[in-house]
Amino acid sequence: MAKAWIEDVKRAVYIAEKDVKIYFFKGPNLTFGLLLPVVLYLVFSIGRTVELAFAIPGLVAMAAFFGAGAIQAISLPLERRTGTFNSLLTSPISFFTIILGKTLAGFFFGIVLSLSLTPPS
Amino acid sequence: MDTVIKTQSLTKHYGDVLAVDQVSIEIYRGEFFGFLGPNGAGKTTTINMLTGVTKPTSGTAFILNHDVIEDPVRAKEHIGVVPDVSGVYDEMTAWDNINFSAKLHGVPREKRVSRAKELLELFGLYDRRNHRVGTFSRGMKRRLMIAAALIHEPEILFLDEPTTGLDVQSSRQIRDMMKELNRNGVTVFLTTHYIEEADQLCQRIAIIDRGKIITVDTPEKLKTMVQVEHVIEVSFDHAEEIANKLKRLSHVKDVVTAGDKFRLYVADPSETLPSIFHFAEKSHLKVVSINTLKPSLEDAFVKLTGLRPEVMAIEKEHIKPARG
Repeated sequence: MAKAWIEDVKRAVYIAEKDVKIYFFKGPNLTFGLLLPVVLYLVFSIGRTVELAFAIPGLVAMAAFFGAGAIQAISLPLERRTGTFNSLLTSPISFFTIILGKTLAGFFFGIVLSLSLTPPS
Repeated sequence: MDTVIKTQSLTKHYGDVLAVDQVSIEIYRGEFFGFLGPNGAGKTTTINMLTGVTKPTSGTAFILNHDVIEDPVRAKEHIGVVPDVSGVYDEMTAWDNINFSAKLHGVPREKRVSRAKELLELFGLYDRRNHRVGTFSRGMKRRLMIAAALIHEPEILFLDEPTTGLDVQSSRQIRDMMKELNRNGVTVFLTTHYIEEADQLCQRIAIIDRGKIITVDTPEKLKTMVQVEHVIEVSFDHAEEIANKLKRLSHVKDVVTAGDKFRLYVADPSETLPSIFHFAEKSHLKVVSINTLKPSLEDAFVKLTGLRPEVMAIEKEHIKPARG
């Protein structure tokens, strides 16, 4: 039983890996994941008296939130449109595993984003 | 015989539309089974229900005694699926695609590489393994899809119109591959709207139209269903407006024009043949060729479904998304 569970997680990781490989550098992901934090940063820093050190944790959280969501918002509809989503469905994995894989891709992207935005202090 | 796929009253509604209506079939181990019908008949929907893409509205389906609704993961372990639209990622290389499929199917690491190499070589794609699939031709893509579906050595292979939209040579290649796989013991479930293809490849054919199975039988038996009618095919040196005149000849039931030829459906050729020559002489026509034809699977299909064969020839391409 435990072994089956590990196998499921492994396959979810394979899906996440593939999603990162394919959709990481797609246009919408870059704009949402990378451009948005920069814009947010400008919005909150220019002409305001808010202390930057004070604003950064909030910015990072927001960027991670939107960025992590972006990769699924792209990969799911794209896969459904091109038909590759059906290939995932016909594989011997549960629907939950597929969604877990997609979520892991976002999770990974979110972490990378947070780390890259957090200034060393 | 050992049943590998069994469905009972399998039904699918999409809102008000009844896509598949009470389909009950049994497919045996090692069989080459064909699903023949025009576009929109419910072929893809049936495959989708059997392979876990969509859930049936009602009815049951079993693959190797695993319920596809209750225990889909188990049922899917033994099948390979070649979908009618793209099942591979354009952004990845052929090698990565086939490896991704291997990983999803739980092929152990040590087997993955050797099997991927073997399949890519078999399908003539090994030299292109490091190229992105987006650069592949349609035939190559289809071959890669079949290779990816075979990576875990499935017992049953589903192919949804694998030759649609391919050139003659690629189609023949894929047909030969399917034959070879079946010879090696793989049970093949093929959907097609090419009557010829079904006739050449399948041991049994289910004819489906508007969601309903009309009949299931071997191609030869299907042909004998229409044996009562004989066909005489004749062409003349010039052929203006004589179809109606031919129809009036004795014992001619129907006349169909096919290119420069006329097909006469007759009860007894020996009675009609002399009157054709007589007619030609009277009308100052020369008979260029004359043949008596055995009923083809196409004739059987037309008789059983009441559809014109031209309906089958309409390609699905224009309704597919351009990226497919």
